[in-house]
Amino acid sequence: MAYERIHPAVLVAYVLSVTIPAMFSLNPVLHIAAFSGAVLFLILTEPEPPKVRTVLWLSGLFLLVVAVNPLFSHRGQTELFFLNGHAITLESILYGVRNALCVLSVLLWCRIFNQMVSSEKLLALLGRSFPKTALLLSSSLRLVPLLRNRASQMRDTQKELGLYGNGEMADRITGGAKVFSMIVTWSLDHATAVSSSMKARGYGLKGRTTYTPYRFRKADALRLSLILAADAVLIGILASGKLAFQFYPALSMESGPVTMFGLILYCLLVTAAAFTEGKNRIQWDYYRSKI
Amino acid sequence: MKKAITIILLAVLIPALVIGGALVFRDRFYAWLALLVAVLSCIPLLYAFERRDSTAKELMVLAVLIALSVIGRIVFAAIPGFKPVTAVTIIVALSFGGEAGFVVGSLSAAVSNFYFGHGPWTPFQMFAWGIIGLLAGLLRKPLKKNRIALCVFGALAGVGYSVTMDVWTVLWAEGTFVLKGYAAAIAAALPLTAEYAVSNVVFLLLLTGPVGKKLERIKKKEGLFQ
Repeated sequence: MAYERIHPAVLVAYVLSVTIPAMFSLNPVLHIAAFSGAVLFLILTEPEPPKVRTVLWLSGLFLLVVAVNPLFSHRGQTELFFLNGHAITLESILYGVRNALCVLSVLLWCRIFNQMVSSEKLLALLGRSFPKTALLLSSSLRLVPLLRNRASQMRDTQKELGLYGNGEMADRITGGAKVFSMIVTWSLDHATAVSSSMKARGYGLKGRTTYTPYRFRKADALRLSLILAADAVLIGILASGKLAFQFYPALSMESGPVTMFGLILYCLLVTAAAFTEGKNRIQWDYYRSKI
Repeated sequence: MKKAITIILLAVLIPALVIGGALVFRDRFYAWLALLVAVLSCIPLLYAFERRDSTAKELMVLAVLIALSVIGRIVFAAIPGFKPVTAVTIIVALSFGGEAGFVVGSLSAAVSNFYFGHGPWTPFQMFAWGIIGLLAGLLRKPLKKNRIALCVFGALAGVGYSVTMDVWTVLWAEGTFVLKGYAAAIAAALPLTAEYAVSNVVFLLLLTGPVGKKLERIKKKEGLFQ
């Protein structure tokens, strides 16, 4: 993936600059852009097509969010029909569609964030200003599989001994609590042993440095400044109200060159990741065809 | 010098974020504000923890407790809806104090979301579980003495957690804070809320005794969190 060569700070800045306007703006054009950009990027980077279950779940969520708004909000001037004496308006349905697009695009961008910024990258970023928090996060991320393994060992032993094996609810809860309490005993003493060896290796001494495999290159500086410049312009346009969108009483959108510019800028920002990925893919295919 | 920079940064940055958000996201200002409160209230508390001297032993014990509350979701996977994160956070706070409770609660949310998926809800979970730990630490004298008070606290923590997450649900889906929508969200989440409250009480009754004893033991043996 092309983004593996980019510094994590740039990746975080990028995802935040895409997600925050998509999360808080009312303009549906921004949501359509964010949604399509996310889908494009995921098509290019995910090795397998999405599972049927995921697609069903996401479409179910979409329909649910669309449906909620007209049930609670009866504003808008185009009445379609009446439900229990309340008007269901076209505007409130469209507002529901906007809400659903917003929710879906933010969900997809969070998925992209999880894919781009692995836990290691996040820890490398946190390491400088929050060293203890980063240490806690990284060691507990390592401890989770270890303790999970211990828990299943404990549970198997208990089952083999014939304790807490069968299906009753109270039995399962007490059994779980017993296993849990046993891992606490096992792990706490293990933790103090680990900390002794940390101390022996000089943890907490003055002047000790940490290593990160991520280097901030010139290309990263260029990318980051482009992202921040786009952010500054977008914030300006958003604050001036030129990207405002009204659903009630009737749909209306600002128009004019500034609005168009803001929309195009956001579209460029949103598709930048997919574009980099696509360019990388084409280059790769081209060089391979020469072999 | 470094401290002065931090203070100036905070004094400029926080109002800038609030006022800037008001200007930029006029219609959805409340959603922005809620997210900001969740993020910004975690930062100073984690920062206070960073500034404190803590030994490698304390850090490793906290890391183990965070991992424990995350795998608790797996140990009790046979019983749907039963997650011991809140109970573990409260028990840690009772033995090790509010700061440790905050750290375990908020970082448990962060770590478990590496498995269950991060999203805009992560800061809210960190905030809710962290504050539960902090409060339990502040109230630890009465809570340790009185079992009934502990159960009531656990049930309230479950309700509080659910209600906090509902604020986010409403703000995210609607943009503004509509009381009617909030009431509907709370009503829709009622079975979940009840489940949280009941499971917290059950876990506290089952685990406070044995786990609390073990935490007290290691605290005394290694001289932690003095």
